[in-house]
Amino acid sequence: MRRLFFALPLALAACEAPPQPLTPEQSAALKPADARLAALYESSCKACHAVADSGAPLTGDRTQWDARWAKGETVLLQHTQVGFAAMPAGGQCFTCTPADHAALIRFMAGRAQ
Amino acid sequence: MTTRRKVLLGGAGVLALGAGGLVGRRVWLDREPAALPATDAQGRVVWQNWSGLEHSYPAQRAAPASDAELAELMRRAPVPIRPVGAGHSFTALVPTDGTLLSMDRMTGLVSHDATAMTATVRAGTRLSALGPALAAIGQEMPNLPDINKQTLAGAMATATHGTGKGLTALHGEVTALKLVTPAGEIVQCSRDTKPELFHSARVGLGAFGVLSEVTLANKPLTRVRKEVRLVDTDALLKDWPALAARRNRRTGPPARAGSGCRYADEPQDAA
Ligand SMILES: Cc1cc2nc3c(=O)[nH]c(=O)nc-3n(C[C@H](O)[C@H](O)[C@H](O)COP(=O)(O)OP(=O)(O)OC[C@H]3O[C@@H](n4cnc5c(N)ncnc54)[C@H](O)[C@@H]3O)c2cc1C
Repeated sequence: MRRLFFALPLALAACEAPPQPLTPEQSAALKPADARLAALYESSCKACHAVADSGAPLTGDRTQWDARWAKGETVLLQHTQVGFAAMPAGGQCFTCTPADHAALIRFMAGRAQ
Repeated sequence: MTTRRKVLLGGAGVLALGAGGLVGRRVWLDREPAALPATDAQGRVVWQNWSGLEHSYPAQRAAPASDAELAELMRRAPVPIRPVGAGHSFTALVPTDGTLLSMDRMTGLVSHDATAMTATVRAGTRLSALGPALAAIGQEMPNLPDINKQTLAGAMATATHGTGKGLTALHGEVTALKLVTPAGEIVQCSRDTKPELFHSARVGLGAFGVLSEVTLANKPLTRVRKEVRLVDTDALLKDWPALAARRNRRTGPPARAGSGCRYADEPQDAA
């Protein structure tokens, strides 16, 4: 019984379809549902996260985001605030609060908002 | 016994150590700076410019959506108030412990005059959005820098320019400005009205009030054919006088020894 209990979530996870890569066009068509967040996204993150060759993971493309997401939201937020690799500090969003940044990371990583 | 071989080997060892030391020193000098704390002791979140060379922990961040909101902010927000565009400038123009004032909510086309070929644009508009907005009304800016991430006001404030014979920097094509002074007054200026303020504020480094609107003298939208060619350096230099006389020719650093890149932006028919 115990074995079945532990095996069930694993079996269910195995049923979940593996993430598929997005085209830059599909990625560029995505925007946050909240209008204020959408405006912040359009004027900052999107400049790189919807451009295939920018080096930034494409918005909504979980084949690019899942490994990053595994680092944990706290780490991703920290990276965003102080800059990471080619990404400038704040991801170019100068009026984003920490909560805005966290919400934008969730959105770009393809997680429900 | 000290042999010739030992002396040579010893010398090579000293040289290798010396060279290694120089390389190590270079690596040490060029190392990435340690990441800054995300927040300071008061919980203020860090701001950094694009290059990461400048930073500050502003007490307040503001993004007014109208002239009235901007004017109110100028009267009441903690000083120093520093306007920020896309944070792409390299020097310490923007860092502030007071208010970081973003123009991200004051963007887009306000109006245009198809006969005079002018367009009035909100100052926070990014160049990447400005091009398509002007194209939609059959206009284009005569010159642009090599990236399009800057805001119009931020780009003008440091005399951002492109290249090309006879072309001015971005502020050269500006005919009028609307700005909000530190006292919260909304002022219009142009070559004829308050000319001293107009000329100072065009390349104002964010020190002559905050630009809210900019009127640009544009040209009709044209199709441009871009050509990038790798050419022999000698041939390039031989052609130089003729190339220099053309409108929009430039050269780039050699991609490999003995060659250079030649770029040509040739205006074609009207779009
Ligand atoms: C990758 C890269 C490429 C570049 N290419 C070029 C190039 O080809 N040619 C060139 O000439 N330069 C170039 N630059 C420099 C860049 O164009 C300038 O530094 C420009 O000022 C940046 O614009 P910004 O919107 O990021 O302004 P910011 O860096 O945010 O601000 C610049 C100045 O403008 C002021 N400011 C911002 N908004 C307002 C406002 N509304 N009212 C009044 N003042 C305001 C600020 O206070 C500050 O003093 C480049 C920079 C980078 C990083």
